[in-house]
Order: sequence, then C-alpha cells, then structure tokens
Amino acid sequence: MVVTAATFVLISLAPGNTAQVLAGQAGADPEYLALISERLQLDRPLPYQVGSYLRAAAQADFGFSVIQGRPVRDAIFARLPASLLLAAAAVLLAAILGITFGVLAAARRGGVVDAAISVSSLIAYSLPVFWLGQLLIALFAVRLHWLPAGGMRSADEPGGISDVVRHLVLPASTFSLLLAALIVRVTRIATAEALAEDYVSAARAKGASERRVLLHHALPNALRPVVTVLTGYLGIVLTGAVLVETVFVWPGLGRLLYDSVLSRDTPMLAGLLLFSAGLIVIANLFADVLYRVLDPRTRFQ
Amino acid sequence: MTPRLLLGSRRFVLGTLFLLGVLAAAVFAAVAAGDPFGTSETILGEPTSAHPFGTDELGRDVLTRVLSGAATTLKVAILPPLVAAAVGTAVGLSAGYFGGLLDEILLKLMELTLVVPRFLIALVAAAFFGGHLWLVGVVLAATFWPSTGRLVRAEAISLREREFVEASRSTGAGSVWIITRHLLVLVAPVVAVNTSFQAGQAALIEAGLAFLGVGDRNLVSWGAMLADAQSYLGVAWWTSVFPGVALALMILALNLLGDGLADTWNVRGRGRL
Repeated sequence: MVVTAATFVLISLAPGNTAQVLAGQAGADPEYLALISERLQLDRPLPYQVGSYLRAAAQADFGFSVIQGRPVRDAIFARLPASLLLAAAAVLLAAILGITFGVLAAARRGGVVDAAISVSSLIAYSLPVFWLGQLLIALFAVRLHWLPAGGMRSADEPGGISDVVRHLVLPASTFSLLLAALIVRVTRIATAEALAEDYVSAARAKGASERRVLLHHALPNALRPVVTVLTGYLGIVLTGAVLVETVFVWPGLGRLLYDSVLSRDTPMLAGLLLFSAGLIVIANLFADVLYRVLDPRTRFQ
Repeated sequence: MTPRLLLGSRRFVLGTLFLLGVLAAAVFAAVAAGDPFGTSETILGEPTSAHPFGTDELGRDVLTRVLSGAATTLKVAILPPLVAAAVGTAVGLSAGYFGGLLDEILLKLMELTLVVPRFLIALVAAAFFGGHLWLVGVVLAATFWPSTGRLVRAEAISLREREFVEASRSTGAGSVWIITRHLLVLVAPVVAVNTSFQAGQAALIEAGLAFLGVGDRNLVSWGAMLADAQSYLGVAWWTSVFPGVALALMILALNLLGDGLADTWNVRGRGRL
C-alpha cells in the first residue's frame, strides 16, 4: 500500500502526465488534453486516484494501461513468461557455477585455486551487466555470428524451442555471471566456516573421506547463508533485468517497466512495482521454506 | 593468518591505487585535456596517435571523454555514500543505544527500502524529474543510509551491554560521551566497509541510469557512452571497450577497497549493498 501511494505521489509530482504523452509531445490542443484527463480521471484529486486504485487492486484489478491498450494485469502476464524464463535460466546457471566454485575455493583455502577463484569472482562481480552484455554481443553475435544479438525469437523464421534457447544463451549467461560471482563469494566463506565446526572434526575423526566431509557435512550447512543472501539480492535480480533486457531487447517485465517509466504510464508502473514487491515477499516466504529443508533445527520451532 | 592479512592489504592497496588513477584522470581532464564535446572530422575513427582511444559516432575523442567521465563517477561514488555513512551512523547509534521509537522508525524505513530496489526508485525519479546528478545523489544517499543505519544499530545493541560500557557509565560518563568516545570507534570498521561497497554500487547505478538514457545529459558519463556505443558494436569496438574498462575498473577498485578493509579489520557479515 505504501509502495502504491508513494508511486502515485512521485509520479504526480513530476512534470508531464499520461494525457500529454498520449496527445503527442508537440503542443496539444488544451481542450483535447482536458478531455483525455477527464476520461482517465486524471483531473480528480490525488487521494481520490490512490483510493480508487487501492479499492480495485484489492479485487485483483490493477487498472487499464492506456499506453499498452490493455489491462495492466494482462500486460504483466503477457511479459511474465519471458522474464521467468530468463531469470530461471540465469539463477540456475549461477547456482550451479557459484556453488561448485565456492566449495572448491573453500576446500583449497589459501591455495592457488582459491586465489584464482576469489580474484575472478571479484572481477566478475565488478563488471557492469550492460557492458558485459555488449562485449558478448560484439564477440558472439557480431564477430562470430554464432548467436543472435537480441530478441527472443527470430523475425524471419520464428522457430520452436531451439530458436528461443539460442536467443536465451547470451542474456542468461550475462545475467548469471553476476549472480554466480555473488554466490561464489558467499559459498566460499560459509563453507570455510562450516569446515571449522566441531561436527566436521567429528566426521573426520570417524574416518569420513574429505569428499564426504565436504559434500555431506559442510555444504548443507553452508547453503543457508547462500539462500539468505540470494533472497536479499532479489532486488538486484529485478533491476539487473531492466538493464539486461534493454541490452538484449528481451521482451520481459524489466523492459516493460522501463517503457512505462518513459511513457508516464502510471497504472502500468504502479502495477509493476506492486507486482515486484509482491514477488519479493513471496521469495522471502519461499526462503523460509528452504531453511526448513536445509536446517532440521528450524523445523520444530 | 599472515598470508590472509597480506592478501587483504594487497587488495586494499590495489583498490586505492586504481581509485587514485581515476582521480588523476579527473584532475587531468579538468586541467589539461580538450573539450569532451568537441567534434572532429573523423567519425568512428579507429585508435590512432591523434586519438589513442579512437573517436565516436559524432567524431568526439573517446580518450578525452573517458577522462572527463571520471569526474562524474567520482562525484556520485563519493558524496552520497559519505552522507549516508554520517546519517546512518548517527541514527543507527542512537537507535541501537537508546532503543524505543527511533529504533522502530528506523526498522520500518529499512523494510521499505528492502522491498523496492533503489535502482528502480532512482530510475523513476531520474525519468520524471530529469536525471540531474544531484538528484541521483540525493536518491542514493536517501536509500543508502537505512542500510548503514541497520548495521550500526545491530553493532550498537551488542556493544551497549558490554562491560566496558558499564564501567564507563559507572564512572559517571553520560550517553553522549559513551556513544562518541566508545561506540563510534568500534562501529567505524563496519561503516567503512559498507560505505566502500555502497560507493561501488553508486557508480554502477549512475552508469546504469545514463545507459538507459535518463542520466545527466550535460555531463559526460561512461554509462551514456556505452549506450551510444550499443549501435556501433560491430564497426567500432573502441567506443564500447574503453568506457567499459574504465567503469569496470572503478567499481573493481571500490570492491577491492571494501574487501581489503573487511579482511584487515575482520568485519564479519560484510554489510554489502
């Protein structure tokens, strides 16, 4: 609720409104402007606008986006699959890479492997996603012609799954590198800490192999902080999506949000912010469930 | 422990050196380099001795622009995080030490900034009000300080129960004395680490906004240069590579600095972002 109200206030404070965008930039007829404003109830006072929005939103009606020419809900759901596909591919890839290298670095703590992994994850973490995306496009799309530079399907012959996968490779890799670097850093520290615990010494004393100690005793306990950090970084996943989707012209929610900002599409923007806030809340709930799976101690609380 | 400390300080030294390099570039650009908006006849020219980094689509010298972009990124990376550090430390210390209403307000603010990512707030603000650098700075400072405040608060809560605070109080020291003389010094490492990471994030957000075309159009920004370069990736790699390397080095420098500080002072939990 606070998010919605803040969005409305922020948007209405700004110069320019939806009516002006709709009527065209170059000096529209004031009467025409007034007509549009009246139609969209933009002439009503702000508290009225916020109030009627919240009433409708409580019934899962997020309003109608005049710019998009369809209800906000439909516009969001139309873009959602592309966003989920990109995010799922990136997070999955990042989790596999990040946990593998993080555990490897922790197991070889202080050695050459650890140093190499730490330094490369720090560098990967410092690369701006949009620049990394450009480099990958320049190399794999422009120079080598291996993969398409942008979009989600080919324009000339929109094929099936393989076509989408080909388009997915570059944006997903770009996105996942940032996340993987983050996961490596957290996994490394958490695993190293777990390895110093008494139960690891006990497992070693029992005669468990180093591999078993690492994968069965240390890793499960190290995953908890990884989940915490990843949930905390969900905001980054959303904002990273705006930039990645812009570089690769990926038809997801990030791009929709950016377009809505530029076109002063208040209902669309409010809907998107509400949706992303909801997503973060759901992710936190999901993380709580994961804690229970990962840490038996929390199951009985 | 020695190799770790050594590695830590090495990161710190490297980060500081990179940062000094960016600072030197900014100073050089202000004093000696040419006009970053000046054009030449060579459009999208390859790197030559006259234009070591090549020229862009309007014939502007990429090296001059990279140098003058350093000032933009430094301003946004230094000032807002420092303001946030000051405000966050002050509020966090008093909230943690005294508890009560202030404490609850701080926590509520913290939750709000967790739900709405600050890049989105900055994006909306910049798009609607024009992306003046000071505005971006204000948004960043306003969204950074609650996270600093939360870290400081947690530290202050654990510190206020310690014996030395008790001892100080028993000798008649007032709250202000205890906070400024004892607690401030002890929370400083956490704040310093957090602030360096925030600085890296600030640089990244400024570049991201400029890349999306809502940055400050009157200033040279590496992010805006990258946005311009997007259309010429196939024909003029230099328009993307040089500003990109500069930006990546800047952020790397700040992350190195933060890592170095965290390792040296043994700051756990690393208050990142």
